[in-house]
Amino acid sequence: MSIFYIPVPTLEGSSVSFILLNSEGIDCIPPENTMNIVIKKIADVLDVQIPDLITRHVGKNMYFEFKEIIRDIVDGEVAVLDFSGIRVIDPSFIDEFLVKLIIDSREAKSIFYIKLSNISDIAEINIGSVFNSYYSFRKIKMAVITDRLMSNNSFYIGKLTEVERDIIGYLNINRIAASGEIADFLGRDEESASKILDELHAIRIIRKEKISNTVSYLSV
Amino acid sequence: MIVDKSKTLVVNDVCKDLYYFEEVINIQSEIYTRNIRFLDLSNLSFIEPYSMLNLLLLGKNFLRNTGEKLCLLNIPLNIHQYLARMDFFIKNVFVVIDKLDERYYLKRSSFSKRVIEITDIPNKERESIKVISDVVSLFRKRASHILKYWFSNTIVDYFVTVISEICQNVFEHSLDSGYLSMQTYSIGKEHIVRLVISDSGIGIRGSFNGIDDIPSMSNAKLIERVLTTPMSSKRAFGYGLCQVNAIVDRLKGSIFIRSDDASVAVMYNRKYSGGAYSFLKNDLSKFPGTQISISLSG
Repeated sequence: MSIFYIPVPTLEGSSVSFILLNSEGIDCIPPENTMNIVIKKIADVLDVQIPDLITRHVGKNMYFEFKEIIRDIVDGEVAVLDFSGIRVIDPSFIDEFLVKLIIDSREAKSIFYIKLSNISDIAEINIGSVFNSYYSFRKIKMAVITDRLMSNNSFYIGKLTEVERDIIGYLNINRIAASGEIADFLGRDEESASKILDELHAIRIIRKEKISNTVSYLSV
Repeated sequence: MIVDKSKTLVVNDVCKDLYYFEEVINIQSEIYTRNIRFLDLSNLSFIEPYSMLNLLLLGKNFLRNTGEKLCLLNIPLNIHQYLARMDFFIKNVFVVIDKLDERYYLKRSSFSKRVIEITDIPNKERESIKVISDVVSLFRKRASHILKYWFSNTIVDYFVTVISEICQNVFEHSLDSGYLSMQTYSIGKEHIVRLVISDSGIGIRGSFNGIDDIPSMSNAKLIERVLTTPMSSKRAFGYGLCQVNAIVDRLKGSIFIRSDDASVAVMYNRKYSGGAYSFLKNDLSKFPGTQISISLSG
């Protein structure tokens, strides 16, 4: 399927951004960049009783199973973890599964991204709490992109600065933008905007790609 | 069996509330010094889940320390029926002098789905994981009966997190097995949902022994700290009790933790009324392990 990058006005209307359209003209993320993983199916394989994914033991087992699944993940791919049918994921499970995956996504040879889909309210609360603790003790930022608006009124869970939050919001609407464009949006110089963008990319909250010799930042 | 009056201790009617139960813990040393073999429960009018589980622990500790079982006698019919219904006696910790006639057994009907019977939390990870999964599954099935006035999917999910996190602490930190029980009941016009998880392991202070960066604070302060700070005796940091506490806050419930010789009670239902809502006590009678009660009331 062909993907077209279509220029569209940004929020300010001052510069140009893009949306991704498929051949049928439907706004999309390129399918070759997405790996959809239905968590419920992994739970079935491991004989874990759903709707709850609880305890460190279950988290560890899920993590090892998941590592096998994403072994061949390609550079720049987004692993969408679909939690439909799952109610509770407790802090212990999150620590053993999600936190480790996020760290892997930052340190693995192939860059990959994680996006959570269909998570419950309690999952959001527990993930937020684990990420906060992680930051308090390790001073390492933890955040993950979600498919729906969270209670922080953004499409992510985690503790980010207001500027970082604005960038994610901007990319969520515009999908793709160059650093200059985001600098304009933020009212900052390009160098400082690039620095923030690279930091967000380092924690795999936004994607970074070279398109037609231009470095672009994309939503996950 | 012949009942020796000199070896009998009469328990006062102090099992109606977790704070009153402290009196039973206080008489524990007397059980050993006076060589008590019989506990006379004739004065009891009601026993709530925290008192029930800790009475069970008291018997378990006695069995562990002496190799003998304490005998329970003169159990009032309603208490006897309730304890039988909650699987208290099948834990085989006490000798019961007067057996309950089968015709008096409470039926395990839908009405009595307001409880989770006393469940063993093993001290081995693999077995414990299975038990936690089973308890959570049972709780989900009975949640509408147990939570009743508080029932909603969100609150069920909160309790699933709480059950999972506290039960994991039993095998991970206490180095002992424990018990769980849950029930909804009414006292006068007040409705109460109470979840209790108790063990007789090394306690919170014990689990932090040998960790240098834990300052020498009182046991109650340490309990308060583990409730409010994501700390762990096993890892650089933890989430369990801290997240449990945050959930109880959201529920505007109350949490009571007793460990070794100290207790902390946090009553979030009073938090927004301006008065004191956190109570720390040190120098209580020693009682091994950690006992946690989480309640919603209204």
